[in-house]
Amino acid sequence: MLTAVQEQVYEKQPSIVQVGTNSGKSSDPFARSRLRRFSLDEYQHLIELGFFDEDERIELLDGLLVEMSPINPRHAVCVDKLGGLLNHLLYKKAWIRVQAPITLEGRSSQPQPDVTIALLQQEAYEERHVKAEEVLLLIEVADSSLHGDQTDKLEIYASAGVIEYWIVNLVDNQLEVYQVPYLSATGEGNYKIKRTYARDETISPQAFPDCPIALNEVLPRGS
Amino acid sequence: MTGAVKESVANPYQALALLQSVAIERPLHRFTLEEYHRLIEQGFFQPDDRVELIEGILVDMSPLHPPHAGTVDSLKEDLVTNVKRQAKVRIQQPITLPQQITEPEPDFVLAVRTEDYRTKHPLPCDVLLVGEVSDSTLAYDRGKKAQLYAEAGIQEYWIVNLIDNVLEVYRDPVGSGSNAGYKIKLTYTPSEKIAPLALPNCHLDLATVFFGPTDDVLPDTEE
Repeated sequence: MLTAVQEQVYEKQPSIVQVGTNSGKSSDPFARSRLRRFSLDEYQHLIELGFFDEDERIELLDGLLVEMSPINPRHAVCVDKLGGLLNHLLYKKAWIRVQAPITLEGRSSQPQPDVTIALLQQEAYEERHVKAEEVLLLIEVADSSLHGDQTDKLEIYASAGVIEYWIVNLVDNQLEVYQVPYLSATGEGNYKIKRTYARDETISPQAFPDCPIALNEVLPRGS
Repeated sequence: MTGAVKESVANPYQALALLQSVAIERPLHRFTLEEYHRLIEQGFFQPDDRVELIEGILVDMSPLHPPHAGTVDSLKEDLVTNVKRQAKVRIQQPITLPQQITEPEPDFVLAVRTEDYRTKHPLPCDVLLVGEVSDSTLAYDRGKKAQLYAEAGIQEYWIVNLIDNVLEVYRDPVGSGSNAGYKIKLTYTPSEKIAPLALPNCHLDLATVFFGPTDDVLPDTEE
């Protein structure tokens, strides 16, 4: 039941009609607005149902189940050094967690920052993860994840009201310090202050001004 | 009116996430088909939670506007009447594409009658024709969906294009991965008739599909 025009089309188009490809226009075939997002309760439910293996590194960002990038040795050593140093400096002053989840309720997010410095209240954390308002400082060590840590994570942390956020930037071998979270007119989270520190400098967390950290003890030598 | 309000209340975190979400360009966690089926069996999804699995990722199905729903109704009546018992007519029911880790719910499917699909959804080899009614999802249906159906080897794919009021008929699947597509695209206007490749003597009147049956308006005398 083809009409003449259609028969012509039929004959003249032996080549592939590229209906299946996005012709490289977008790297996102899913139209991200249509992705099914999970609530924190649903995420918890998935964990309880055993949906993720022990070694599966997943975090919930804005309701999306995101695969965390693998940790290379340089990244791991940097996290080790930070953890050791902060545990020593802030012993009995703050609760230090390494690569453990924090819960950001307003954003359906449960990321796992490399280091979290939180209020000292162990009993509460045995019942539930650290909440945004209990966080004194979040630290991400960034190599391959640098762009995301400077954009999506920064936006989510700021809008959740995390008062201070550090990015140990292993790409440029520097520390980026973000302070004073605020919401823009369009509702996007951001930090008012960004300072960059080099390897030969010293910095204290905003909440612990008497605890200076020499960055040459954290950032790798060279580069 | 109240319907819209109800919807946003039914899924508050989702609305919230959409309002506040930032562009997250990170690799997403993918489910297997077995995991997806487990989620369904365990009642993870609410009855009003319309999702489909696309390459291991859960995607929200867009809400149905009346033109879309009405067109699907017309098609259903037409297909059931014309196809008779030559094929199973399935409306908005899943099909399984195991190679693609994909389980979409196309608007309509003609499947072979060799079984009744109570133990498993139709596989690509069971599908004679797959069809989508498209308004807001046209780009997605022509892009990602076409790629997946072609890669799975489904021989014929129809898009009832409500934007331009034409039927797009895709035949001869070729290629794999992001290069998969259909070799032939035919376009039919509402004044024409069409028969599926697999059922050459089953003619559908496209005017009915696009504008509804002429006898649909009830006579005045009926109470």
